[in-house]
Amino acid sequence: MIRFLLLFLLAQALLFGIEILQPVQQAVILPWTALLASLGGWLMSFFDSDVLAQGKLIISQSSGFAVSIEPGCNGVEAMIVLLAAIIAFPAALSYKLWGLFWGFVAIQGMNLLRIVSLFYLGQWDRVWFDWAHLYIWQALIMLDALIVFLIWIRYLPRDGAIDRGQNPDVPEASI
Amino acid sequence: MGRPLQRFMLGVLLILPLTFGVWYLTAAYHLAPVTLLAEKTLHLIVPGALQWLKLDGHILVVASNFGADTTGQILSPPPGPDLLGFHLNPLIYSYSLPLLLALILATPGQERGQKLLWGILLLLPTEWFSMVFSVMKTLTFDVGAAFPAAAGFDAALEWMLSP
Repeated sequence: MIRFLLLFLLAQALLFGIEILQPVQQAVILPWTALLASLGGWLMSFFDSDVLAQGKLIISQSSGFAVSIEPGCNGVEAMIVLLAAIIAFPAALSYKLWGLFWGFVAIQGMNLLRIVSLFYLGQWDRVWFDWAHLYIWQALIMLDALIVFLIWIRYLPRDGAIDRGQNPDVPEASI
Repeated sequence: MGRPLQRFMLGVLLILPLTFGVWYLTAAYHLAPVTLLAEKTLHLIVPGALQWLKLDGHILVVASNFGADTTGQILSPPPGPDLLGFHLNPLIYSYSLPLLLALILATPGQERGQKLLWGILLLLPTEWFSMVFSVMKTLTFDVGAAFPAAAGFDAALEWMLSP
């Protein structure tokens, strides 16, 4: 448990440190953020012809209301927390990669839902938009990462694939 | 997915609105120790830059030790009775408290109060760190050049902000 916690904190410090480096921001984070805005706008265009995606902006053409998808709104932080947890937990590499893949799908799917909901909440009521934006969705995205991690542990084989060679004291997962 | 995990997830989602309500309504209480610690820290690391930090409900009121003279120049200490003040939202770095409470309440087991207390104690340094640096950021960018000059790190700031 202590080994897991230390590795988890260390991996987070390292990954968050890498995330804020300017070359990483320019090459990965900003393009990914713009892609999310385009994807969100594209999804909304299926049921709302009023929506226009422009760079990192999603705009309502009739009301002029727009949301700007900024670094911090792109699910990367939740991915980093999940990645750190998966790195720190002893398991075979193939299982870690599967966990990451499904974590990516779950977190980014949830984040798209967040972007769509915030776009409409913002046009409806500013107070609810602020609440959802600043508090509720932050907690829900982190909860999403936690649930993916718990499900991943649940599906880890109880023997064999768990890398017990590194740490024979790892308890069997039971959720 | 086993039933315990489903029960846990459903429990968290049902409890979360309640814990968010409690967290918001009791903000003045759970933010009070963080505010006190942050104020003491800021007096220590940037002496003379701050008069006080106070909570107005869930809003953090920052009373700086800066003010404008008749020409609009920012000076410290303030030349008149008016000083530069700022309103910050400290709830943005404590939203993990209602999440923690919901997770603890949805997890079967005993000694929940003790676990919550440990959780709050472990989260306190993060909240304290965030509040201190939110105030520092506000003073740096909203007060302008007078703050780093008064605090004695104008050269360091110039170096950090240089392209």
